[in-house]
Amino acid sequence: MYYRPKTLTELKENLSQIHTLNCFLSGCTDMVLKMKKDGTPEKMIDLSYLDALKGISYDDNLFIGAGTTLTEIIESDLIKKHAPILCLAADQVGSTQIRNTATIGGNIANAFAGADMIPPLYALEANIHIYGKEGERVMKIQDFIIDNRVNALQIGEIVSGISFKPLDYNYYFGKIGSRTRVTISKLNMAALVDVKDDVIKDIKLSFGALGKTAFRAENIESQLMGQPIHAIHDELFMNLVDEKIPTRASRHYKREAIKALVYELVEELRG
Amino acid sequence: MSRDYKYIGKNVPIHDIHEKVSGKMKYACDMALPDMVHGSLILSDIPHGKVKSMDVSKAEALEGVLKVFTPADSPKVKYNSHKWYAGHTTVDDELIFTDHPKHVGDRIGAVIATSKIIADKAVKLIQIEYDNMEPILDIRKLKEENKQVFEKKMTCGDYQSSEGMLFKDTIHTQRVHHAAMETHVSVASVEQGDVLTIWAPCQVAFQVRLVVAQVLEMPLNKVRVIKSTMGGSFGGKGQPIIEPVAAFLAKAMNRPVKLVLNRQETIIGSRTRNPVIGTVESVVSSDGLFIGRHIDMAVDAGAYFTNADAVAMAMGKKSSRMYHIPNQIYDVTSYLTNGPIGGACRGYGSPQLHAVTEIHIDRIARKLNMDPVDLRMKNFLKPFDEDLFGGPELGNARIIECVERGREKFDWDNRQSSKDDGRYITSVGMACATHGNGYFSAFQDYLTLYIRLDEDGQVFMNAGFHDQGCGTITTMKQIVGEVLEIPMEKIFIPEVDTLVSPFDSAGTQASRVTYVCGRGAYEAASEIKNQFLDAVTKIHGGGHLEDGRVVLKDRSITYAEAVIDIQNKLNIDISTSYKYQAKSNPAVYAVNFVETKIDTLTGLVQVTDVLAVQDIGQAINKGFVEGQVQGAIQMGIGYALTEEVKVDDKGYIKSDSFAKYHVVNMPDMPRVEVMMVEEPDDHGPFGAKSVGEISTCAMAPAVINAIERGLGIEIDSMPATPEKILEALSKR
Amino acid sequence: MILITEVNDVAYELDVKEDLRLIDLIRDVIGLTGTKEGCSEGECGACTIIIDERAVNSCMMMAHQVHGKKVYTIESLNKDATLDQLQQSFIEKGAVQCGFCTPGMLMSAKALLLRDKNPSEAAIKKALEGNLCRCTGYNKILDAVNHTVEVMKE
Repeated sequence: MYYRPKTLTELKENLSQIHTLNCFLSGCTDMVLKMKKDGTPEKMIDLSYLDALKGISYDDNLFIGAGTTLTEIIESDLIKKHAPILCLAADQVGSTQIRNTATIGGNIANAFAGADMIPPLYALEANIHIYGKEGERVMKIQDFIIDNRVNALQIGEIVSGISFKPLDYNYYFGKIGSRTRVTISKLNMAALVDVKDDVIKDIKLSFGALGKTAFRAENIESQLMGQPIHAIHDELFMNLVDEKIPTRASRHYKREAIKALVYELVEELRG
Repeated sequence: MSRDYKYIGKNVPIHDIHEKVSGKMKYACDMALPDMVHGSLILSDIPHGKVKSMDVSKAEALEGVLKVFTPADSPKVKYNSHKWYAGHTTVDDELIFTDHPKHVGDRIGAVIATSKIIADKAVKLIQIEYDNMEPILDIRKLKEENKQVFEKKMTCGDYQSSEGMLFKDTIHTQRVHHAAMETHVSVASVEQGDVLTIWAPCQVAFQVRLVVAQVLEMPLNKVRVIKSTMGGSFGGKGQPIIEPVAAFLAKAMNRPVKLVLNRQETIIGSRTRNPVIGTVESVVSSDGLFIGRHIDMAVDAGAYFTNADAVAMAMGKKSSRMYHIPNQIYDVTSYLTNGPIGGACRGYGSPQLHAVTEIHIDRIARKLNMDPVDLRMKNFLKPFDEDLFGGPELGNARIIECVERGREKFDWDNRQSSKDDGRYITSVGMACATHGNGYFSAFQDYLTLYIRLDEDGQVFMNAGFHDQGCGTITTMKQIVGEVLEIPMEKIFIPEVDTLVSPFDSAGTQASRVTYVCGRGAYEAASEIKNQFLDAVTKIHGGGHLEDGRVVLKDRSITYAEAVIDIQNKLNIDISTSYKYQAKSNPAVYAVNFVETKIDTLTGLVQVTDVLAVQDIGQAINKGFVEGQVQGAIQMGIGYALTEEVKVDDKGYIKSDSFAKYHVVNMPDMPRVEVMMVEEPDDHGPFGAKSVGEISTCAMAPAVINAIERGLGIEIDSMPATPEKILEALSKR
Repeated sequence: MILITEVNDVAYELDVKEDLRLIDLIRDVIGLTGTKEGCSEGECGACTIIIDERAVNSCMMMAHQVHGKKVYTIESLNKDATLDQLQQSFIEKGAVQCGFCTPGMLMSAKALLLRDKNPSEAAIKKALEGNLCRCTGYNKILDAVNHTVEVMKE
């Protein structure tokens, strides 16, 4: 069975018909791979015709519909203005073809540990809007992402959008993969930093592909708060790698390579 | 050196380019025959074991499934897909379907269904119970236990008593996937007259015919192989892999069967470039002369024997054809493991040999504090020197000129020092390689070409040609056009169809096509040119060819008019079946100069500049030569930096998709300047030598050498991943 | 389930299965085999087609996701005998060897040029970053797209 709701009312009706997770199609870039492995779900809901999931709006908070493609994010004037870090991250996801179809909602719901859109949303302290047959709810992104490829959605629920209060900070997103472009992150980092007169007034740092879920590096944030930029040094970050993935074989590489992200962050802050 | 040719050396696009740019070109995957059914393979998901039981009931119950084939249904004849001529002695250890899988991806059975989607679904429903067996993966251990399945030694001089400074390195090269964009595919059908017909993108149609006839115990003349448009091969489709399977299924079903592998199946279930562990020991005089060398190669053949012998030998034969090394030993052993199967792969052992030896030579140069180009220049062989291992004559070997001209063009002497801006290091490197031109002196190498000048003045030539997308058909047209002074659009040359094409001994293998088959085309065209002129003389008392017309004493006539005259007045046609045998197998060389930009923080390397110098003899088509070389450099960069079919220590394959197997994409691909040294060879058509394989043999060591020079590290195992580079840096 | 769509400006009303991928619709149901499948996971770009002036991988979409949409495949580039300038440039620059990646390359380049008449070389590389080629080393493909841009300027 293939549902193609065009309105939220239709969606609600369809949501009450399904009895599994992982039955939603949107950009489909992750779902096709999942179906290749696990087969096609008996019932599918195609979210790509739902206008209610499209659109970007700003009213104190920035709201991005879950069905917004990564290309639309990159090209959105509102996002460029209020959350350019998302444009930066979206630009580094997959290839042009992937970005043209993959949606931000899909990237979040897929909850992949190496996803590139998730760390910036941790830094932005984004809320995830969930729409379900029982109604709507909103939760913080760190509560939404539970484990690698596990999210907090219940059966009959979808991500409908994200929202956050923009921060007019310096921003940085960087990733390390195995080639320059079209590569899965071995490590990524998002940073929003408020710098005045070379002093860090506020900093929000988050990482992906360093453990099972993205996370905010609160320990480093608190150590850097009120400090000059040159207080950002490699040791802090190398220790973070040791702490997060003490037994993984990839630790040796990541604790070295993280210096590249630190280097770029500092360059960015120094202008 | 520019000669006055009309078609030779010119840039002409590949013959089928209009169909290719408009999406009209039909590849085997695009074929649909009436009543055709679809196959999907059941591949082993364990590296080694016995199939205890197979539950196919759910698959059989699926609507649209016609039959499930299991090992019990397999023909019992064992074969070796590497067998390419009758009388070729091979170790025959492969079955169509096996109950004793020897690697992840080994063929256990197949499902036939009314659609590919159903066949794929059915395969997922099949449950196999295995008796697991211990996989063997480490060839070092096999070497210690003397468990080689092939060994050979070649020697010259007396290595043991050579004296000088001693250098030794051990370098591992990895297993790689050919990564042709078209996966493996074959369509087979029993056609009228009980002729089992197979359409496949293959490199050797007569080899496919030979193997299929052997496995299915059929007469050769009842097996017809039609080469379909090739969507990329690079050696990957050089052995019949799924053709015998498709043929068996079509025969068993008595219906046309289409068998298409997906990317994962192609990576794990076709062929790969053999990994090797190479140890080289060199004895060098203090002023940098090579006195002696001992190469010890251990080759991982994978799960089946295939060409474990041939590739091991091919590597060794290159070791005496570039440098003058009076005392040398080449020792090679091959081992069977439970990894993906090794097979032909562009360069056929040369990339492995040169990776090991050229990295080693650069290290010697650094230890001697010599420029690596200077060190090589002291030791190169000269044109017409002898191959001390007794191989065929080197011919007009132009390695010295390639290096000299490349050195100048690349401005090597002024680009030596690595500049460091804190994070990135830019450094340059180079390497050289040699390869062959066919099989002369080792194996049979001949073909028959039928060529006819028709009564409309157009030419038809038929031979066992396989265009791999490299431009073979166009190349042949340029040769024939030049000889007959006839525009290329008036020449038609189909690709091989074993039912109607004259025999060809080896197909697209061993860099023989332009050199051997092209010379055959030259001779065949010359033969009918003579026939034509003789006949014209008989009728008109003389004449010669000029600008596509026959010039007589008082006037000129068209080829068509002349042929009509000949047919009518002399009662003959203008045609011949020409038998051509290879007459030599000279060395061909490539030199790559590269610049790399190394990120010392991430270990990522970008190749930023490449000069590729080719000892080409004579370019038949300059655009094709550039295209071959640029593609070869792409493969070489991947070989150096990113590509590896990773097999874990339990035998499972970790990089079985393009998401995990990274080939170089456009953002990481540098500009490649191609320099052609054109010093004609005696036996190549118009002096041409090979390019397709040689062009990929020097690139990986050139990149590794740049990295090692720039960072002062040693990379003992390819590819030079960021992880390995950072690890080496931390130990520096 | 009924699917109403337009492919290369031809309207189709088809009854197709819910689990059919777009590439299978294009190749097997409609019979336009110019679109190729090389990896089935959005990594190689051989299956690239254009929807809403954007390049997308047809192996990564379901057929029913083009309901009510217009799809353009390689066969749309020269519906009549005249070649698109991109095709012409690929011929002139010798950017084709085996040709299996060519339809996807052309469609990615076409999508770029639909939105940007004067792309930089960097923009071209980015537009083609999702299209793999094993034969050419990309040099001549890049030349061909650059050449197209030059010709279009004239």
